[in-house]
Amino acid sequence: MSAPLVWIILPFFASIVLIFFRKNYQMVALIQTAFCFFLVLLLLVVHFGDIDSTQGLSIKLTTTFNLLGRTLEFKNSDKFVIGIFYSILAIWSAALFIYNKHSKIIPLGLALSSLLLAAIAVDPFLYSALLIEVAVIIGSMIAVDLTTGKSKGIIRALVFFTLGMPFILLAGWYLAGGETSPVNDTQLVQATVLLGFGFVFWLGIFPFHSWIPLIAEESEIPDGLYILAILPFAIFIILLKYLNGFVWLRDYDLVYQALLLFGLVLTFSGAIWATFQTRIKKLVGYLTITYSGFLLIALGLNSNQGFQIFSELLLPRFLSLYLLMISFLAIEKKGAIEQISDLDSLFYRFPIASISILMALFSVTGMPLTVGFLPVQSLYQESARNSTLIAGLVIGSNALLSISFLRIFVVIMQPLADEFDAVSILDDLKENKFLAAIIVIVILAGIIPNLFFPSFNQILSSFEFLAR
Amino acid sequence: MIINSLLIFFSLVVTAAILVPRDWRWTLFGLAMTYLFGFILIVQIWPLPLAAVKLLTGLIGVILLSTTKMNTEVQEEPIGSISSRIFILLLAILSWIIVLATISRLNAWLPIEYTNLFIGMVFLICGIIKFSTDQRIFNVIVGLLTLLSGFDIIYSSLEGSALVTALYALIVISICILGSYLEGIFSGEGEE
Repeated sequence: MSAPLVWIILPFFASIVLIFFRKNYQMVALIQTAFCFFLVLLLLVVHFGDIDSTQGLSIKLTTTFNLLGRTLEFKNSDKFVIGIFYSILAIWSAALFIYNKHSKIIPLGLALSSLLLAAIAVDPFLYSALLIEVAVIIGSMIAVDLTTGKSKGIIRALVFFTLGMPFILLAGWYLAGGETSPVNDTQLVQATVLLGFGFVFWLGIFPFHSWIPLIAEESEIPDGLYILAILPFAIFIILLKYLNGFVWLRDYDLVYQALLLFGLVLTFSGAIWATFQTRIKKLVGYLTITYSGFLLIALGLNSNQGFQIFSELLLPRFLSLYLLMISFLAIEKKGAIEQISDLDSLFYRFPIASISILMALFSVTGMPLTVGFLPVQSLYQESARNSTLIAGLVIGSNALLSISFLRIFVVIMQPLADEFDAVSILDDLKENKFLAAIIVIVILAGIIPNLFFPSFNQILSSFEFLAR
Repeated sequence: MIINSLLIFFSLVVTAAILVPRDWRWTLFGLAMTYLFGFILIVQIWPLPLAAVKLLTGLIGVILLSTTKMNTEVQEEPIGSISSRIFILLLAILSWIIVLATISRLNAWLPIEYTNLFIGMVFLICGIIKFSTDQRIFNVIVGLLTLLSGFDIIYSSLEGSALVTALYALIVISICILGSYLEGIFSGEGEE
């Protein structure tokens, strides 16, 4: 049996089969959660390719799967990336099960994850552009909210990703012979420009970012945040794959300068828009833009430390979005929230969810005792070593965000004007326990970073030429 | 030579049919024609079955969209005026001129048949104009499909593989399903 068959083909077909049983939503949600956890746990006991004789219990799987004359390939070093995709889907599905929230992530999330993994695994990897396009269409189906009747964000995402696809495909064709043999300077510039345009569209670099806050606002909270968590992550992995795959591309200084520039634009523009935002869901969208900027800056630093920071920044990104998602789910059970003013005195009504929201927001800015502290501090240090201007802009952006979050803190902690009935956290005990557990993980990751972060550095093992 | 010139001329007529008329039937007719043109051009390079897959998926997509349109058709207020149509036609003509002016330089970089490159670029830009000038879901979807059809004509001349054909077919059908889904839902809501 081959690894791509287990982690790509099987989940894709499982997703199709589960669609037919979606009427029994809770059962399908439970099956999807269990299946994703199983896929993650299975990674711990399998070995892709030849087994080292010194290793203990390990199941051998072949690395390749042939599909219509092309190959899907997973190396042993890809296991962590696969694990991230299914871990995220597992915890998202678990939250949907616990809160009994209907979402199209059940069961389309499996199809989306498997397509994104196929885009990462396909060889030659210029075909990843086509698979990303299919994944975006599935993502659009997940993100569309039938109750609001709004589809602007989805349509924009579809347009921008479709515009990006031809650039990536053409660059891939152009470079097909350049993986080993050198290309001349003109070709290098042309291919870099093509790739650059493709990734500018895909990563939502200003001014092509507008779909991100729109999807955050128009979609149901779990759907929108899942798309914003998983889609840019897959694009970043493909970007790393391109950098790792082409020797001349990773040695071309202009590429890293462009990454730095795009990263700074994203970070600063996201922070400014987030600061002046009055709609809470849109604010979350801008936060993901800012965070994508951090990731690009980390890559643009073009150093071992920079790549390591990139991998470490992923954990706070996922945990913050997850915390926000489950807190909003808990709050929305009692009423919709749209504006920041809707969070007025929230602490007295939903104490644990309030703490959770604040913890998620301050994690993004890298406040001490949160999961974001270590990577964001490292980003400050490394960018200051590179250029004080870059460090200044990153710190300035985070300062803007912090001011905006302090404003939210004040709104949430606003004392209630009238007398109110005391709420008990026992009211929704199951949900509150779940929220509290995630908060504890976030704090633990902040206090004892060595517990979680080193494992995230394994992402870099898939890109052996980048981590020098 | 004459056939190629005719193909180029009719491709311009097709883009005008997609861009200018308000009636969705003309738009979908134009879209179906782009797939037919694509088939005629690609079948000269590729085996018939692979080229036929592209034509068939395109036509299935057109049928899907037209079925949705027929079922959800509401009496829409005419948006814009005759001047907006003239503006779009002028925009299309400008795009043809730009393609004509730049095509030889582009051809040096993309070594494919002149006719394929010209028609591909004309469709591609027509798609961009379509979804840039109209925000309605149906027109955006048609714009995207036209863009993809144009790009497919160019890319098929460069690279041919069964996986690309299969994925392209999947993309076209998926976009049509998504378009029908959104058009069906949101038009239905507007009707109530």
